[in-house]
Amino acid sequence: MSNHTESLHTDLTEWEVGPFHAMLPGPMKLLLRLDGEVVVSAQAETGFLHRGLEKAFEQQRWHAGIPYSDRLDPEAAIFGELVFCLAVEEICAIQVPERAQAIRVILSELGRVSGHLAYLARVARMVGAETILHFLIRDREKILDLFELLTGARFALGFLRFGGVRDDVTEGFIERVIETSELIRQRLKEYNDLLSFNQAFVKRMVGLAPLSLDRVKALGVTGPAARASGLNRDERKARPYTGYEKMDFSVPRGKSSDGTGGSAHDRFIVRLMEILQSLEILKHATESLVPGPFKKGEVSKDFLPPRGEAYAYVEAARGLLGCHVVADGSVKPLRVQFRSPSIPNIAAIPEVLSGARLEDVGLILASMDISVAEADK
Amino acid sequence: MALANSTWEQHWRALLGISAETAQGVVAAGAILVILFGVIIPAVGVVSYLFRKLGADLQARVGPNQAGAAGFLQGLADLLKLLQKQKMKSEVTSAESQREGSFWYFGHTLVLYSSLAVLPLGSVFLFVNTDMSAFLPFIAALAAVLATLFSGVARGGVASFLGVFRVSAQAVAGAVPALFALLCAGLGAGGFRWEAMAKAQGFYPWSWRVFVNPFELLAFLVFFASGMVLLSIPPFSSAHPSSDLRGGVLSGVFGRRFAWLSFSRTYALFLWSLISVVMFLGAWNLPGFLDGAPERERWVFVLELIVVLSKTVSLMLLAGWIERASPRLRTDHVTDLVWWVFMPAALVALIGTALWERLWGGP
Repeated sequence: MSNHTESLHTDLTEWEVGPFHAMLPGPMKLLLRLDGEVVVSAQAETGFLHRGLEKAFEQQRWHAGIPYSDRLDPEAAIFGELVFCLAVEEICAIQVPERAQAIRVILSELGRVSGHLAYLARVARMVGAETILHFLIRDREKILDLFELLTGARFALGFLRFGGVRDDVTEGFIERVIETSELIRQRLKEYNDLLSFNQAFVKRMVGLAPLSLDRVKALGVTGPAARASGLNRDERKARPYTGYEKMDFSVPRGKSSDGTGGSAHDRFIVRLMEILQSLEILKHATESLVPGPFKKGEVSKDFLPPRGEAYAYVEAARGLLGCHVVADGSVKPLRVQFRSPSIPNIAAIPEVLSGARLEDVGLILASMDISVAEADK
Repeated sequence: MALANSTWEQHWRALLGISAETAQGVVAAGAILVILFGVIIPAVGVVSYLFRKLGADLQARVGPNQAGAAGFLQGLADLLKLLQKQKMKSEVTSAESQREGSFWYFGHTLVLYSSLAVLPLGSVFLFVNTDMSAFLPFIAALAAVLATLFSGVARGGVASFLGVFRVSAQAVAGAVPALFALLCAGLGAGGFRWEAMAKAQGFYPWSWRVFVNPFELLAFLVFFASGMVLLSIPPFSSAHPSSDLRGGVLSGVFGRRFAWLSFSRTYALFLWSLISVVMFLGAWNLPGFLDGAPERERWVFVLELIVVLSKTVSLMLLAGWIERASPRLRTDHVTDLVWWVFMPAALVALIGTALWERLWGGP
């Protein structure tokens, strides 16, 4: 009998995935311990994409920091720019004109829709739903076209300035925003028909990698991933900035608002609903675009903020993005630090992967919406 | 003598211009080569192109448009590209496992193509027409699964090794209901000879087995879907992904091996679609007025081929459409689906077909 027990003894398999692998959200390592197909434990190791971004701010003049903030999360560049500008404007007590605020809101919400569409596309790719993947990418291109129309760039916009925005909206831009919003509103139905409530997709996603409300709070997870677990917090509502207090929208939450845990499907659906809310905000923002200046005067190249420090925050597509800026009265920042929403999501990896099947690892990682660039800085 | 009543050997001798003294094996080899290069490879090539074009159209893309007119030669361009790829050092653990892996990839393809000799492409193409004919491609498919399984073991990685278990689970799950469904077809047709199955049907859809007997419609659906599970055809392809996204028996396979794999997987779908057509969708039957016309015998078998291939290609495109429209199922979801849905459905179909034939069937 003891011989039988011995012969049935099996060890756990260790599998090191990365730093470059198709199932990973970016350059990172994943050490999986597997019992057959089931993940017993997982460890994530990051840092492979560290570019010394925060340090780079200290080497540049204040204005030159804006393009660097674009590189924080290349997929949703506008949020890095916005949070850096907000922090500097707080130090300098710059009042941003109303028109510039509306333009910033429009760009932020376009950035959110673009980020969420990219998220949905990544999830679709992980479940092998190729058709919807192409549809999502196609529609995201429309948003990137709008960025290009206004700023001349599709990703790293470099469009915000301390005290406003670089240029006023171009002719026909607002009409194109309204047109694109309507198109995406119609396409949401298509996404739902093809994927959201497809039986095979639902079977794969519902109950997958749940994250309870308690764990969300303990880990510091924010944004759609936290709201999918029932957290009722959105910085645009809780501490409105750059004119969001004038916008009428609701904050979608996952089904598991009782705190029992938001699954991958909740995280997917919350983003779909957030796209709808962003379209509402875009509608209000375009309607409330009042005539007037689009920036507070001309900020010179030798811009010198007074000595001081500020912490600004925005609700980025992935969650709470914070920026701490310290000025010592010189032409360069003394310190710039970012609080990226992807870091708590990476911290949640061991929990959400534990007990999952190997086939779902890529899908779970996609569902957590991690930007390695943003985390590694 | 009418074409349908003659043996394959006489017709192929006439077609290939081979004298009566030449050995039968030479005639068979010549015929198989003609079938492979004249029928199968062009048919599979056309289907691959249509897959890509229709898939691209579904996905709001252009699809192949560079190689040849309207991108028709894209498959050839891809093949040339794959043949030139170099091996990665990490692809295999040792020279021995490399040889072993190559053997099983080659074996996989070879086993599948061995079924060429038993393909039911028309009354002239029936080289092996025995009471067991319908089981032979089925056995080839199972043997191909076994070869895939060993190729996964030979690769030696964690993903491919775990994929071996997925392949095994899906093969067992898919084979059983498919076998029951095949029995339904045999019951309905009164035997497992391709000829018997074809004769039990007609050219027009209302004479096809799926419309003659509702239980055989159920059997057809189970047979085709179970075959997709058995051969890991999308959306039931969790065991086989060629990408690294989910890990699987063939993850990371590229170059020549990927070319072999693509050939064999497309052919496997062709094989399964073809036998589904012959068993349930009217086989190669032509309209009644074309029967027994000796003066037409030279082109009647071409018409039969066109009929059976058209239906086969349509069925393959249906599978392609399902592939494009559906997310991939997880292996345990696939096996659950088979054991809880396909299997009971196959049993109902078998019992129903038996009762139907007993009560309303022929003598």
